[in-house]
Amino acid sequence: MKFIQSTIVCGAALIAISPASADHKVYSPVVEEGVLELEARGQRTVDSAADKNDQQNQVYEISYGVNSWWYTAVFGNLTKDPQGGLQYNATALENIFQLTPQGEYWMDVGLYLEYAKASARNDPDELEFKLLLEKQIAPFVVTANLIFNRDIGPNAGKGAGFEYALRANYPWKRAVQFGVEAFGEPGRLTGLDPVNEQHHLIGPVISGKFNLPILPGNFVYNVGYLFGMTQGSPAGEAKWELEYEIPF
Amino acid sequence: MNFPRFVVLGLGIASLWNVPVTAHADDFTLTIRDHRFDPTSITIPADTKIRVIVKNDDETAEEFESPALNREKVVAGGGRIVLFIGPLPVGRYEFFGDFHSDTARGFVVVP
Repeated sequence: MKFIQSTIVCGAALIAISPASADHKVYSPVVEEGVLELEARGQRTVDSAADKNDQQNQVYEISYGVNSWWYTAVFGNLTKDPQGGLQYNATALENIFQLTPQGEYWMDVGLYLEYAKASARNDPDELEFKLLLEKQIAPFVVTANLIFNRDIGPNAGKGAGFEYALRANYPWKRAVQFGVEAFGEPGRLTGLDPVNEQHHLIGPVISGKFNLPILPGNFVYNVGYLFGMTQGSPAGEAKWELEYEIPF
Repeated sequence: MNFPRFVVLGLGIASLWNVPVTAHADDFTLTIRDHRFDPTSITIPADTKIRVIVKNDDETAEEFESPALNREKVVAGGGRIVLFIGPLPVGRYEFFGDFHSDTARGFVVVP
């Protein structure tokens, strides 16, 4: 219990990031009730152009499945511009609501709501809404997130932004699963960016779950490399996620 | 179109996908007792959605888990959960109890 309390304190201290770059994680609409999760994840661009190389986004999160349909989390976000330093950007509160019993209907549906409070006074906060969709087409599991966001506050961009996150996963083994993930930022709904300026990335990922005998709970990981598909995208991006989950 | 209208649009899109599937067949019951599943194997028809009731007769919680079935759910001690599985093509789909994986194991068989 003391460990958990200390972790919550540390997690709450990780606050302050202005949402400068998209968080490349695909969310399932399925909530795991009664599970406490500690997660670290990040991504780093790879490109020969100095203004596109080594852009980073890191998230450190603590979350809990409150009941069978509500999951809540708080996280801190750090970002690094290609030629800048790593900076604490925002603190965010995240909630997922599972709307349908898993597998009962043609598709599983959930809603994701997030509010990110920027750390810099002149940066806008961000409100983000995601429609979470998932379907098992045996042996694959296909997940789609339709993402809408809007800046709030000083220097807020106009209109709502639209992004997407997609995953097709083959659950070969508990510890090793193979998938393909894709992420895109077409632009604002009031007017999408020209295609060559949009960000679209796709690539292979490996994920899985394992446990260590000395610890209760499980570790969940996801690592992958995405390839840029447009001129505006970085040539590549390495992404990683590591999560420790424990019933609580 | 402003942001709240997109929320409504998103909910509307979601509602179109939730056509209740009434074709699922019989209920199956799995009982967890002494950290084992009973029965250890369920045979279901191909391409059919089924409802599985998982009862936990033990005092401690167990987690029904199956990567192949894409299911992971905790069953409290003395409690029960309902899982919807399928439709599935022919094959054997392993499931296990994550908290007692040495003994709590079974298969869904689709002949």
